[in-house]
Amino acid sequence: MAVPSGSRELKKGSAELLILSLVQDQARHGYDIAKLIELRSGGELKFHAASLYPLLYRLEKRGWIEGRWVEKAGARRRRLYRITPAGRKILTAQQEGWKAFVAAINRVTGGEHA
Amino acid sequence: MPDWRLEIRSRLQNLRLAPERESEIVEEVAQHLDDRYRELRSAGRTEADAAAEAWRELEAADVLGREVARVERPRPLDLPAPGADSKGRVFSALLADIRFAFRTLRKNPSFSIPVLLAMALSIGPTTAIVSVSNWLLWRPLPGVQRPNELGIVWFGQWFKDGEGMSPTGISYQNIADLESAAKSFVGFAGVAERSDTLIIGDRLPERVSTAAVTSDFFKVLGLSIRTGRDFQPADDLPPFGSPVAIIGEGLAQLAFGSPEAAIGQKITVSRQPFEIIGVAPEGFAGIDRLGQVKVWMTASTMPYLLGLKDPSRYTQRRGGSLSMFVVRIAGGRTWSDVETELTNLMGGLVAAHPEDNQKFLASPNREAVTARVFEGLGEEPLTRRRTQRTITLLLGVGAVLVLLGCANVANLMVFRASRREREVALRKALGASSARLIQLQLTESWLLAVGGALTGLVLAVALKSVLQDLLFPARPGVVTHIPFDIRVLGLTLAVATATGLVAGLAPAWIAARSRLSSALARGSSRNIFRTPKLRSGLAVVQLALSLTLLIGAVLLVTTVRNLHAVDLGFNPERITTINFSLSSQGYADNGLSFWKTLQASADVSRQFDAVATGTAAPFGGKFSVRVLQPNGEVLEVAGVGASANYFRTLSMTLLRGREFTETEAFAAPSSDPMPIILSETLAQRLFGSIDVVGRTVRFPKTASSPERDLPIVGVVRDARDSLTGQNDPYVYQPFGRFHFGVRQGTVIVRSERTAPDITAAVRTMVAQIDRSLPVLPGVPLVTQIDRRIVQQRLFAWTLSVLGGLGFVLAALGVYGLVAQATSERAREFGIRMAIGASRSQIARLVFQFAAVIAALGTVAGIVLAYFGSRAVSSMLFGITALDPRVYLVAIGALAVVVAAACAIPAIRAMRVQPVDVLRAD
Repeated sequence: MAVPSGSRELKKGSAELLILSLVQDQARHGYDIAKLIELRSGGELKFHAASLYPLLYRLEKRGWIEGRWVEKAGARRRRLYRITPAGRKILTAQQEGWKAFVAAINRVTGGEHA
Repeated sequence: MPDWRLEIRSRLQNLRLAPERESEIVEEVAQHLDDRYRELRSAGRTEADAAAEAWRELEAADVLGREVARVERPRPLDLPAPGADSKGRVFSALLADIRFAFRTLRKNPSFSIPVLLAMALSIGPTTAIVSVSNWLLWRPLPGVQRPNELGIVWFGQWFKDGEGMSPTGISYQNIADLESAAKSFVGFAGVAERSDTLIIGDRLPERVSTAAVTSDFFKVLGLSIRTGRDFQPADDLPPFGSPVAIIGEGLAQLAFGSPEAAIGQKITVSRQPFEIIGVAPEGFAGIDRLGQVKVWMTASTMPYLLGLKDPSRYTQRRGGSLSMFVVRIAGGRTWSDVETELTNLMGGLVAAHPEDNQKFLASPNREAVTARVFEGLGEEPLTRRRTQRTITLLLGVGAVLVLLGCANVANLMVFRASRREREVALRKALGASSARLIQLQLTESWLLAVGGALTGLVLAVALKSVLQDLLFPARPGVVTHIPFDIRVLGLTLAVATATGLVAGLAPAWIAARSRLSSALARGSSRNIFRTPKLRSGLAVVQLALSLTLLIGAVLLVTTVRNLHAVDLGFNPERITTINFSLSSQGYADNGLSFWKTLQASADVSRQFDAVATGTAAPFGGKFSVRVLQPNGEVLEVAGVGASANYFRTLSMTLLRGREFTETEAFAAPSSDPMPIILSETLAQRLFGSIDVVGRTVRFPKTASSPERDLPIVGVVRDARDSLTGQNDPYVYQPFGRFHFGVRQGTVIVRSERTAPDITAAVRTMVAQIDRSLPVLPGVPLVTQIDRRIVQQRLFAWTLSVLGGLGFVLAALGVYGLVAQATSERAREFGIRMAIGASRSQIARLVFQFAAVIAALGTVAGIVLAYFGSRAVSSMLFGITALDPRVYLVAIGALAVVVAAACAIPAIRAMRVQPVDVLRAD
């Protein structure tokens, strides 16, 4: 795993937020989600299939995202995930909490800049 | 590209996911690995390198399984496929079979609904019968210890003609002598069940069952008093005993709120005060299962209870009022030991006290007094045998019905099994063992049987109340609710299970021996000349059983019709009778004036078409009166006391002379001359003519009057007091003549109004004469007559319904069989028609097949009915058990049913087009 050890829990907590924000504007399949996480974190965060899909199923079970098999002509069917209204609420709340947290950390660690 | 699926699936296999869900996950994760592999390959990596990198997506071997397990739910149970070998997992295999059977049955309603119905129709009525039998015959008496040691002893003189017994009272002195000498029994308690007027506080007076018992009654039964104390010997000392009572738990709850609160309270029993000293155990209401005893008093309080000034009739050795005893047998003795010993001891009593015990000796019409011992408590000894016979017969009918249901279900199942032969053969080819296939089949039939039984229980609840009404019209309000007890439910399920297994055996056997090659080779066209022997046999059994039931039904229905057609000599329509007991109200000689006043106020009110007073209405009892024949011989005849309007009210035809006048009817017993009216039979018997008005009949000397000649003022047509017996000779005397009748008289009302309405009106009239006298509900005379033919009506009804049901079941069976046989012979019919057979010839072939089955069923049914009808022969009236007309009617009905069942298959056979059949090959 590309993240340093000790940050596993942090990664897991933030992963939910990451996934929700990735599917909030458009439906994506699992591989797409994994690629985007890796890309946007500049390779810092990386999910393997063995952890990613259970996480997707958990979010789905909670009713935050919704997975649906979609067939396209000439291609294999794929399972696409999209955010649900309940998921959107959670996302908004978490984003605000995250922003407040980051601001607080910044105030403490970078006090002289404030 | 490597195939990822197998590996992914193996990592999930321990999770026991639902198969569809597992496939989804495998597909999704495999796609991920595909995508990864493709990406790496397009980035220029080697195949091996890309594959290794992609495999890494699955991380350590346990990660995917563990993570998925935290989210996904496992499927409930790992069940083997139906018919697959259970490999020791018998229980889960059974569960799988039940699920599978349930699904298949739900998918085939045209099969499962008839089977369920057949089961319900056979098990439901049987359950109703069993629960009533249980309630009547097998239910234990509450609180009684070691009931198998208990019996009943009756002392009495049996009439020489064998028709009944007159009880003989045993005095306390004689009881003590019997008890001290006896070796064959260890307990001996006297009990006399009574009916008294009970008043508690300011509650309305009510008539309740009571019992006068010796002080050891509860001890002999092994009952422990729930609250308070038991009777002590000191409570039971002549001449008047102690005025103490033990009351039932129900009454204590109702009247005082709790058993504890009842202790020490005063109650009034037939105008005499008693103090409550104890409360009986919950549910105990006497030694009869149908008993309703609410109050127990000691037997020596009887003179006190009756308000007697001179108790000697009860206290001397020659007296005594107890004739029934509960006896607890000594260890190692038999019931005939008890009877023999008591008879010997009675002889000893006569020898020791010849003067006092003379009443034990034989008289012209009666045997010497004997002790009759009846094993067991719970039922009235004299009706016990009849009840048991009734119940046995009902249970027999129930058994026939279950057999019928069994045959029907087996028939349907065999039919289905033959349709499923290919499916079963395939399962076998796929490795199912015969044992598993049999289990599968039996599970299915068991499930049907239990389902049918549950449906049947619903039916049973409805039928039970009908049975109750038919069995107990004589006890309105007493038997209101017969509960199902757990044993009956258990038995029903056991019978259902047995039925299911028996019915499933034949198809299971077919399933087990079926061969793949033959079943598959047969394909859609069926074996041409294969006659379903097993099914034919079952149809024969069904026809035979239902023919038997039908013959029974015709016999009983005819009997009931004959009984209703009997000329009674009076008209019971619109007659309501109300019985009164003045004796429990302390009336002595002023009783007559009560009746006179009541009759007068009823006449004056003009509320009814006619009112009369009598010692009894027809079917309501009679006195035994002795008259002297012209040759000097004593003739015992029936006596009834009548008021002025008696014959007119009952629409009895006066053949000669006149009725009594009002003055004559209510005159004192001793007044002379006392006119009499004879029944036609008595007039013929005494004088050989009915023109006897003005002549006299000589009455021998009795305890209260000397020998005297009484003038005949009228002759009346015979009125029956039983439906089946001879016409007894009757003498009618003025109402006031019978001391006892005056105390226990009957008001007879002719009116369009209902019995409760009439009762209310009479109650108002009585209240103006004596406010404390309870008025029992009036009973229509028609109902009282119907009570005499309870058994016949019960069986007429039961056999008709069940016989009808049986016929429906049998018709279905025959139809199914003929339909199958016809469709299987379609090819043969087609060929026959192609070579010139006419349609009617084809129809004849169908009917020929059915006729053979019907003939066999008829013969078997007649044999069964020949033996079965013996069981009902004692109930028949106006028809004999082997009346050929009955058999002809029943066989005719059977022929019609079979013909009807064949009609549709025959029509179908006639419509067979040779071309179609031949083309199908």
